[in-house]
Amino acid sequence: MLSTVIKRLLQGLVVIVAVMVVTFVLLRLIPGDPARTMAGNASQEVIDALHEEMGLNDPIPIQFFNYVKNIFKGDLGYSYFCKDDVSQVIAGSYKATLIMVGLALPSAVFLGLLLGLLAAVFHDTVVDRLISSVSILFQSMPNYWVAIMLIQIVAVRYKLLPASGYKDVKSAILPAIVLGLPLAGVFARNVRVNMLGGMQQNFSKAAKARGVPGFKILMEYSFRDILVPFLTLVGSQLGFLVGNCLLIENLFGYPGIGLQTLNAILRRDYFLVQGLVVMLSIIFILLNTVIDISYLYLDPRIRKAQGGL
Amino acid sequence: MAERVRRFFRFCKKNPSFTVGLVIMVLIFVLAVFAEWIAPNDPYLNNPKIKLMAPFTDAAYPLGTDYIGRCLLSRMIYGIRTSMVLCLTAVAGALVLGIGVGIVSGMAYPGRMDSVLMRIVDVQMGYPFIVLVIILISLFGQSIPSLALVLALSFWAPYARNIRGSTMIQKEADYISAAKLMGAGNRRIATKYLGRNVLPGILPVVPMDISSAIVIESLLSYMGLGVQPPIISLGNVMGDGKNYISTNWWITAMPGFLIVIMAIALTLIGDALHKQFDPKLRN
Amino acid sequence: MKKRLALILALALFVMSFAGCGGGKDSEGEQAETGGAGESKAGETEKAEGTASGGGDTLVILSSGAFQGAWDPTGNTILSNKHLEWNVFDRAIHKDAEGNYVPGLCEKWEYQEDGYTLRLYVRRGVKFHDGSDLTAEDVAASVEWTTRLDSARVGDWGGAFKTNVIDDYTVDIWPESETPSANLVDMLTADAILSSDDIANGTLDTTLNGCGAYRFVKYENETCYLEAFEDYWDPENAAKVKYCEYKYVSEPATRLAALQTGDAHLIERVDIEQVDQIEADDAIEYEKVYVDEQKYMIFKCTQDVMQEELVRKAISYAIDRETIVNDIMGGYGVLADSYVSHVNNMYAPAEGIPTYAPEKAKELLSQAGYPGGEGLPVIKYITSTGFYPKTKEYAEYIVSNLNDVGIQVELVVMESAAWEAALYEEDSCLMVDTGWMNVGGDANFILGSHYRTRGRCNFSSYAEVDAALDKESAITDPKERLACIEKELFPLLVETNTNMPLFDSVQVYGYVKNLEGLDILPTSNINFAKLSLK
Repeated sequence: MLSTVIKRLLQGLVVIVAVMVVTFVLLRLIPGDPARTMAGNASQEVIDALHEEMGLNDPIPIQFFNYVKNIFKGDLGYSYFCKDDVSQVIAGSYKATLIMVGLALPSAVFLGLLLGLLAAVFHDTVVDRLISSVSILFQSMPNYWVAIMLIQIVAVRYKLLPASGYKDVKSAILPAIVLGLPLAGVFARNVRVNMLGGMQQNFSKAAKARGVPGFKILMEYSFRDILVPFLTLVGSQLGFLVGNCLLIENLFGYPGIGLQTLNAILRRDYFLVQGLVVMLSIIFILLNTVIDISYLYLDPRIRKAQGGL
Repeated sequence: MAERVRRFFRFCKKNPSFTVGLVIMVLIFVLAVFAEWIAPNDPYLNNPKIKLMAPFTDAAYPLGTDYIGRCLLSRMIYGIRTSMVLCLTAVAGALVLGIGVGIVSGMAYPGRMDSVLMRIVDVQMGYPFIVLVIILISLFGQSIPSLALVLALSFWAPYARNIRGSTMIQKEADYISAAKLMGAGNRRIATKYLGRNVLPGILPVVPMDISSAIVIESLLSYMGLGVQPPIISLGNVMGDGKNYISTNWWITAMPGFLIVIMAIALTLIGDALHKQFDPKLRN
Repeated sequence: MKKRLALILALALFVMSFAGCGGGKDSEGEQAETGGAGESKAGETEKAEGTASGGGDTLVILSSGAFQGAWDPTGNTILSNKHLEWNVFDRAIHKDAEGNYVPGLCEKWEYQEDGYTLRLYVRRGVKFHDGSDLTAEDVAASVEWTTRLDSARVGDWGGAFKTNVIDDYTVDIWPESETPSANLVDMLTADAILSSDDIANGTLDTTLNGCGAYRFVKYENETCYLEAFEDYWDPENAAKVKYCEYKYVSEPATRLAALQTGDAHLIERVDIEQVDQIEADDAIEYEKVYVDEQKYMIFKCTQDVMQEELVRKAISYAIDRETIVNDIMGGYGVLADSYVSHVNNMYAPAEGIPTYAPEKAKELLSQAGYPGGEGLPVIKYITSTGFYPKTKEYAEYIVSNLNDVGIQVELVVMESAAWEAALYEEDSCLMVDTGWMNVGGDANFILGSHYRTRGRCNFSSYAEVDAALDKESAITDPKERLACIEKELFPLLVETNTNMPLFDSVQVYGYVKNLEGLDILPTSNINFAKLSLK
C-alpha cells in the first residue's frame, strides 16, 4: 500500500518536472514581452534595460538553470507585475479559490449523484427525461452567459448576493454556482448511465430473483459499479475545473488563483505563470493519486489485478 | 442492404427519442451544407445603420442583426458549418487518441507502458487548459486546423483515463478470460472484445463534448483566440455578442439556443446508441 | 454490509479531501447546498470584517486597466499606473480648471536670462509619505531621473535635463541641449516629484513614496489600497475620504454590476451599450468625457507596399470613419481631423487629412500601379480585443471598406499582450490598430513618439518631419508653437500619411449618485482627494 503511494508520488514528480520544462520553454517562445507590457509605449532603451533586469537576455537553458537553482533556495521568482514574490502572490490568492471550489465541487457531486440515481431508478419515465434534459442544459449553457445572468438577476436586481470581488463566503456563492452547475450535469449523466449498466448486470438480476428488495440492490450491487467510472470522471473534470475557474473568476472579479493565472498569462508574467502552473499540477497529481488509490479500495477486481494490497 | 434499412427503421421506431435527435441533427446538417441557399441574407454584408436590431421585428432579418448590422440568422446558418467541421474533427481526433492510449494503457496495467502513458495523460490533464490554449494558439496561429488540434488536445486525456479505467475492469471479466483461454491474442481482445465493451463508458460523453467544444470555441473567440473573422463559426457569432449580453441579449442567446438544441439532439442519439450497443443493457 | 460501509466511507473521505483542504470550509459548503441561492448565515457573520461598501470611509474605484507598470513612475507609461501616481505623487506645478499654471510643490518658477534655464522655488514644509521633507534636492533628482536615457518619460521632455541646486529650496533646471524647451512647464505639471533618497537607493520599484494626498498602503490581488495622508501640504485639498481602494476589474459588465450593487462608487470605461442600463437605474449616473486619446491606424512604413505613400493614402481614403464613429461607436467618439485630439493643448485641424472617398482611394491605387487592388499583397491587419472599446467591431467594418476598393485584408484579432508586442514590432504586420492616451498632457508625447525618425510603431523616417518637430519643440510661446505645428508639421504628416488618425475617444464613467467632487481631466486622471460620499 505504502509502496504504491510512494511510487505514485514519484511518478508525480516526473510529471511536475515535465510540466515545468514545457511551461518554461513554451512561455518564452510565444509572442508577447513582459517588459513591453510593463513599460507601455516606452522607447526601446527602456525595454532593453528591463530585459536585462528581468534576466531575459540570457539563453533559455541558462534562465532555466537559474530558475531551478533558485527553487532549491525556496525562491519561486519575482512577479514584476504583482510586485511581490511568486510564493507570496500565490499565498494571497489561493484561499478565495479554495472556498469557491469547496462550495462548488461537493455540491456538484451531491447534486450529480442525486439526480443521476433518481434518473436511473426511474429510467425511461418522465422523471428521467426531465433530469436528463436539465443536466444537458446545465452542461451546455455557456458559463459566461449564466454568470452574467446570475449577476444581473441575483446581485443587481434583487441584491441578494454580491456581484463581484471577495469579501466573505457570500461572494463565493454565485461563482460556485456557475462553476458547479455544468459539473453537476456531467456527473448526473454519468451516474445514470453507469448505474443503468450495473442494474442490468447479472448479479443484480440474480439478487432480484433471490427477492432482494430493489433499493437494496441499488445500494449494494449497482452503486459500486458507478463509483470507479465516476471517480475517473471527477478526476478528469479537475482540469476543466481549473480552466473554468479562470473564466469565472474573471467574470466575477473574484481574486483567486484563476484570475491570477489568467492575468499572469495575458501579461506574460513568466515566473508567476510558472509557479501557478506547477502548483496546479501538484494539486492535480495529489488528487488523482488519491483517486487511484481509492480504486484499489473500491473495486475488488482491480485489487485482485494488483495482486492484493 | 434492404435488411439493414429495415433494421434501422425498426430501431428508430423502437427509440423515438433517437429519431427526434436524428431528425434535428439531419436538419442542422442540411442547414450547414446548403447554407448558401437557405440563409436569407449575405452573412458578411454589414449595414451599421440597422445594427443591433431586435429579433422578430423585421421579416428581412428574422433573428435581428449584430453590432454592425449583419443578419444574425444567416451568420448562424453559416456558422454551423465551421463549427461542425471544427468540433467534429476535434472530438474525433480526441477519441482516436484517447481510445488508443486508454486501451493500450489499460491492457498494459500494471506495467511500464501504462505508467508512461498515464504520466503523459497527467501532464495533459494537470495543465491548466487556458494556459495551454493560449500557448498553443500563439504558437500555431488561429487557423481552423490549429484550433481543432488545441480542442482535441484538451479532450483526449479524459477519454484515455476513462477507457483505461473500464479496460482495467473489463479485461478481468469472465468473457475476456474465456476469450484468452480460447487463444485470442492481446490485439484481438483489445479490438474485438474491449473496444465494444469499454466504448459505452464514454459514448454518452461524446455528444456533450461536441457541444462543449462549441462553447469552448466561443470562449476562445471572446478572448481573441478563436477563429478569425471573416470565418464565421457559431462560437464566433456567440462570442461576438458577449459585450452585449445585458442589453442586446439575442446575439449571444440565439446561437446559444441553437447550441443547446444541438447538444440535446446529440445526447438523445448518444443515449440510444449506448443502449443498443452496451451488452449489459441489451435485454 | 461491510462492503457498503467501506464504500460510503471512501466516498465521504473523497468528498472531504476536496472540501477539507479549506480547513473546515465544508460546513459552509453544506449551508450553501441547502440554502441554494439564498442567504447563508456564515456570510452574514463575516460581513463585519470585510471593508465597508457604501460606507462613508472607503472609496471604491474600479480601474479598467491593470496596474501592470513598474512602480517607478519613470518606468512605465501605463494608464492605470498614471492614474494611481496622480494621487500618490504630487507635481511641481499644478493646472487649474481653466488650464492656467498655479503653484504646486513649487511656489514660483521663472525663466533665467538665457531663455532655457528655469528656476524653481520649492515650497517649504512639504512632507513625503515616509516622513522626510521635500527639498530642492528632491526636485533636481526627480527631473534628472525622469529625463535619463532609459526613462519611459524622457520622450515627452524631448531629452535629458541638467540641474543645479542653489539652496535647500531653490533649483535651476535646463535642457542638456541648451536650447529652449517648448513644453517644460507642462512637463512639470505632468510628472511626479520623487524622493531623492528613493532614487539614490533604488527603492522606487518597491513602493510608492510621494507627497500626494493619498498614501500608498499596499497592493494585493489587483487592488491598490490607499489611505488619506494626514500631513498633506494643502489642507484645503486633502483627501476627504479616509480610505480608497483602486481595483482592476477587466470585464465591463462586472464593473457595472459592482456599481449597481453599491460595491463600487466610480467605474472607468463604461461600455456604450451599458449607458441605457445606467439611465434606467436611479442610484447611478454616468459622465461622458472627451479625453486626450486618439485611435489610429498605424502603417508599418518600412514593410512591403506600406513603403509607398500612395498605398497608405489609398487605404486612408477607403476607410469610412464617419460610419465608424456615428454608427459603430454610437457617437461615442469624435471624427479625427488632426494628428492630436480635439482636447490636446496643440490641437489645430490638419488641412487635407484623408476623409472617406472610395473613388479617390481607387484612383490612388491605380496611380500606385495597383488598379482595382490588383498586384497588392493581402494586407495583414492586427487589432486587439479586450482593452479598447469595439476594436474588433470596427476592424471588421474596415475590412469590408477595404474590400470594396479591391484591397484584400487578413484581419488578425489578438489578445492584448500579443497585440502589444506586434504593435511595437517592425515586421509583425502591415497595419495595426492602436490608441494612445496622452498621459503627459503635451502634444509632443504623441507627435515626438510617432513621427520622429524610426517612429515608435510605424518605423517611418522623414528628415523634414524631424526638422519640423525640432522647430516646434524649441518654441516656448504656445501660440507661436501652435502656428508652427499647424502650418509646418501637420501638412508634412498629411503628405507622408504614416499613421491614419481614426477618431478621438470619448469615455464614459459611471458613478453612484451620492459621489461628489468628480472631475475627470482630459488626460483621464482623477483627483481622488476631491471625491466624497454624501
